[in-house]
Amino acid sequence: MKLSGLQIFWLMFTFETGNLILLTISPAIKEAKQDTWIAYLIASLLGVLIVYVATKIALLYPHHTLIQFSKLILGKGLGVVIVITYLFQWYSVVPFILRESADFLNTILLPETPSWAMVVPMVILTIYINLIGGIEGIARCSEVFGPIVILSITLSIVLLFKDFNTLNLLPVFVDTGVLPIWKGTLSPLAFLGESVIMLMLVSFTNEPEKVLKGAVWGITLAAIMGNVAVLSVLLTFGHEISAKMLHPAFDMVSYISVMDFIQNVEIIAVLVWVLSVFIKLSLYFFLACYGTAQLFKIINWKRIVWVVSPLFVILALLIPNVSFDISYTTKYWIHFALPVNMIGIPLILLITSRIRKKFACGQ
Amino acid sequence: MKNKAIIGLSISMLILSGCWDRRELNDRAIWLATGWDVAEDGNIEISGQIMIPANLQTQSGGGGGGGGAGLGFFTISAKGRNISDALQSMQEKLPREAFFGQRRVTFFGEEFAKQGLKKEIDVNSRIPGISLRGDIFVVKDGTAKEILTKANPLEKSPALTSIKEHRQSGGRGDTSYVNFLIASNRDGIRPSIPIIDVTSSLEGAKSGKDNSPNPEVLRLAGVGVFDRNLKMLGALNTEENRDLLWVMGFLKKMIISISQQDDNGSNASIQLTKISSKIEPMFTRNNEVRFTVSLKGEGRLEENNSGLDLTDAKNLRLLEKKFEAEAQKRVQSTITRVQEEYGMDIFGFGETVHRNNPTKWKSLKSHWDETFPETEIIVKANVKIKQIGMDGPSILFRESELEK
Repeated sequence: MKLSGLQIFWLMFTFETGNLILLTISPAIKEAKQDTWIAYLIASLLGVLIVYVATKIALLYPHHTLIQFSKLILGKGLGVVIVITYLFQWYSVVPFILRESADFLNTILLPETPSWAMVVPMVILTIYINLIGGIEGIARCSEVFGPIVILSITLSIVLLFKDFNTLNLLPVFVDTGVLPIWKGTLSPLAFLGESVIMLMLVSFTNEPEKVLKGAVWGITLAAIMGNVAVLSVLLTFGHEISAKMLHPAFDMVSYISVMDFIQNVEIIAVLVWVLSVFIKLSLYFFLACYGTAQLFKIINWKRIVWVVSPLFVILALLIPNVSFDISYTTKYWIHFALPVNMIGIPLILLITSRIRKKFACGQ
Repeated sequence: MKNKAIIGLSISMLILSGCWDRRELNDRAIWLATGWDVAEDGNIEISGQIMIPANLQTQSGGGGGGGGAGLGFFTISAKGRNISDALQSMQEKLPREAFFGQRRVTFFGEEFAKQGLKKEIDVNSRIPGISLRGDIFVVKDGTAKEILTKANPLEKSPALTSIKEHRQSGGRGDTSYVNFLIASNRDGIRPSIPIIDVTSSLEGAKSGKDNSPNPEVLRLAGVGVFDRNLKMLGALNTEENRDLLWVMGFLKKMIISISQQDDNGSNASIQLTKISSKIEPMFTRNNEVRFTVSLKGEGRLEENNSGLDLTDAKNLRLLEKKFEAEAQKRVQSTITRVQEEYGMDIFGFGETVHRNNPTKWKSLKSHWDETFPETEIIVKANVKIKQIGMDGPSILFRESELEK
């Protein structure tokens, strides 16, 4: 299982973009109003910083995954605690993504199809790609999907140019202020910060020297797409009504109408999102299985797949409704995963490993 | 291996065959327009216009000789507590499932609009599959149900007719609904919705039934003024609507005509094609807000029924001045009328304060509805004639009659 630098780039980009655009815009606009684009710029910078730090740490131990080197850095007990924190994140996010994709498709396209009929095939696909291709298969998939995602987003935005109203962005800063903008930063940042999984991925590459570049650029491109999307939402609808929509980016694409001819193209948005979500799902699925295997020192990680996947399906079907999804994102993801998993632990790892290296040199 | 493949295939057949949301095209009733009215018992009445697919081809072949059988639509209605309730009863009269993906127009009966839209029309953005892009109209002196039955000789359906008329007249077109939503969420602007009514094709003459040369037609008849609670207060006429659109910056084309009294009632017209406007708020010493509206228009001269020789730049300037005076007078009187009669800032003056002086706006916005009617608004117009057409002076005037 070897990834190239370019594959890391596409993997990071495709992994981030879909959910970043679909899920973070509305909560961010609710807080930061017409200045949400500033919030996204800040989130982008911090997001790139997170992936930079995560990759840097992982590059200190290029042949070990997070599961192994956290023990090397912090000792056995603390190492396991850290691993469990991350495993909890990966295990919890998979059912939520599954359920969310099912709910979204239920709302948009297939109102009468039961959830399980969308969750189960998705899980089967995920199992398939993990068993056949492993991480390399997922990366190759993202190499195919990534360009499609870029192309569709760019195309939709271009078709919307004529509906942009720059006055929607005014007045800048006066209506909001530092605190609301910062609050608006959190939701995109919590999604861009998912790139912290580079802690795991670096050990799978055969080009450690190109990994940093690939990961940073991948997140940068995803962040640019997010920025462009949020800016277009603000320019088309203004902040007042888009804050109340659940998926303003989707509404924006369905708003496209060029010469009465290009209309109802919202299926493009669904396409982008399904492709991106598939990558995200398979990657988290892989991490959950591989991480568990390494934690319990099971040599063949693929055996874990069969234990874990029914669990995911059941958990996904147990989630009661859409509002529960939203509170998961705001409560756990923003208030726990962001400060702990994406910022706190990487910083602790970085500082401790630096100190250890210095100490080792001193001896 | 082979067994595995077979098992895999049969499982996917079970799961992927997708029987739940199968929709054939001929199981769907394509819904073109929705009408909202009040019913007698306090409920609402929903009417819908549904396309008849079999009658759509006749347009290209027959050229209008088809007769009543060729009507491209029919209208259906039902009453209920809200639209979902009404649709459920309506579905009982409809052999196919209503499909709203092609709905482009919404009509509100005048009475419905006057009772307020806030607590009624949530469905328009909540249900998936309907784009936010769409025209909305208030039906003047009538019900939406009635409008939805009026065919136009040139178009297959009233829905299409209203959209096209709206576009031809250079209004806000299919962004009306989003504009309405945005305006109802902002403090510095009140919503306004275009108005449509039914009239006869020949002015003054009573219109005949189908196939008469004087059919009943839909007409854009101005704009409805709404307050904060989305209740319609009243209406402006078509000319005032154009002035409103000019100030708001939506107007794409417009003709200004003047008559020159000093010149034996001769007249002239300009077709403006490049139109813009700018509102500038200013604050007086005692912190009262005032506005200057600068209107700009460029275009070509359409008519000049006087002896003015237009090859002379001095004469062109003279005409421009008269157009400017006319535009200024009209827009000013429209603004005054809105201030005095409705007191609602449908132009968005408040939003310009919000954008340009956001800190001062914070104290103004809570009582903007009371402040706006008292506010002084000065209109300035700037009209430029860019082309004069194919003649210099009017050909109908003798050399001796020309004013140099």
